[in-house]
Amino acid sequence: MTHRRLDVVHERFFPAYVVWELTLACDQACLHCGSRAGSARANELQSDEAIRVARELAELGAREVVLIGGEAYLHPGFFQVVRALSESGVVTQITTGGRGVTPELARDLARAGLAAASVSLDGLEATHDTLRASPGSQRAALSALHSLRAAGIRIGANTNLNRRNRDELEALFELVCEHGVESWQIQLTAPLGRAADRTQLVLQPYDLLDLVPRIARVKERARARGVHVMPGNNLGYFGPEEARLRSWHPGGKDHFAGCQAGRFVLGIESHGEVKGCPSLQSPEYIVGSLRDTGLAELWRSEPRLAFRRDSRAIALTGFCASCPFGATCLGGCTFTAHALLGAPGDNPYCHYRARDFAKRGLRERLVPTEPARGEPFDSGRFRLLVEPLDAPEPELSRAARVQVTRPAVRRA
Amino acid sequence: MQDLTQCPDCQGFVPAGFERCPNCDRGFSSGPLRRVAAAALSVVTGGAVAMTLMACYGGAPQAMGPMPEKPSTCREGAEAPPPGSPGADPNAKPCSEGPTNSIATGESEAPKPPPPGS
Repeated sequence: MTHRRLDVVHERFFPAYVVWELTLACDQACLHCGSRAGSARANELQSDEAIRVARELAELGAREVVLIGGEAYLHPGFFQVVRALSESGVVTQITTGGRGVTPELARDLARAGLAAASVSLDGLEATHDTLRASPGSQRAALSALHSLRAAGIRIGANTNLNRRNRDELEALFELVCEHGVESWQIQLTAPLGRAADRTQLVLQPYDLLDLVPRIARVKERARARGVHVMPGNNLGYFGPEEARLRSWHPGGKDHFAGCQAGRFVLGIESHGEVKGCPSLQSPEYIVGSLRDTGLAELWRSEPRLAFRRDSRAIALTGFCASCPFGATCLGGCTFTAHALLGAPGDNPYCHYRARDFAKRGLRERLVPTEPARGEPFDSGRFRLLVEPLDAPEPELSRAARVQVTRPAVRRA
Repeated sequence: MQDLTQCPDCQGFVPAGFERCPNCDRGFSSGPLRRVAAAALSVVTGGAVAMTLMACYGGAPQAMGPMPEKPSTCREGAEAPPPGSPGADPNAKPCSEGPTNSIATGESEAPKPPPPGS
């Protein structure tokens, strides 16, 4: 089993699973990057500060810390942080695009105690390189997988599914298998950060009618090849495939049990700002800085971090308010719902919901109405249009055609 | 948290008290059908729900067993048949997840308690 397996109903909340953006510096400029990574923030935690945070995480009982970026290995204190975490008994992983992962770096990571690495694969070669805005990017990612594995580090892959790569799911599965990946996380590209500037890239809710059953079938095939396929938190919910999607073992009966932000999940940004989940919109969900307040105090006493600890704290609205699974699902992934409709509690990215509309011959379409501001982890706004299920795909609206790309704010 | 059962037809979840499956519309409401359906339904939650934590900027969890000695092959059909099916090993252990009622099954990990004072 895994360090991530928890009874999520009990109320002894602690940051079991932490995703820590060590730096916003990145060696790629992905078209769908939620944090708009590229340049380091001007005021990122220095190595000594980061090591202190690593100790605080261990003291709070963190089981696993995933270091991300940008590219975490671009932080000057990267190896020290990996070592501090692993020596404290925290399972330490990285998520990486892999471009700078050489055999030497992989061996150094293994010596520092890194347990596992997840390499982003966003499609077959042409698609991957397009989404990563970097020719040769996929070759580098596959090379990173081999270097990490050769160094004795467990390897996984992660994929953001969107309208650019959804048709490559099964072919990508073959690629994942060929490269010895042990676990594969699949999630939906939410319109967050740079993906919010490219609204034609993101899926429509009715795309889930086809996509979710395909993912469930891939998961079953993957088991036969020793690959664990696990859905990210924004993929679901409660269609007939729910148990197959979410269970680790065949025949398991797991299901989505609500957003765990601030309950057992914690996100840290590279300048020490804290939120309940790494993907939450920074302007709305940052609760404080580790430069000003200790992590234990923030965790215990900051009500905005605890907003998911009371299941009644967020009112379900729209379809979710009358959904038969609402009391368990609680509106699905918070940041995704917020990225679509500006608030949690009504989430159109839902398989049950799409099926319910389809049974009535209808579907929901997301129509962009407001662009994102152009900052890390920001989102724009959509409105929902209900239309016949067999309506033709409309021409991209003017708002969708416009690439609202703004240069990332360079602070360093 | 709702009590959920699992529909024997579509395998979708059914909230307790529902007379029809929200996904496939199978009915559980009358006479012999209800008794058969009730026998087929099993409560899969009941006060405790185990979950594998995920976050979209992290990776998928890794199994904690020994690392495979060589890369996975692409050979299909290597999976053991499901319990109860022809060819299944009668001595095979049930899956470690099983019902998500982790108290009843004792199969999920107990949460590691935070240290004193946290």
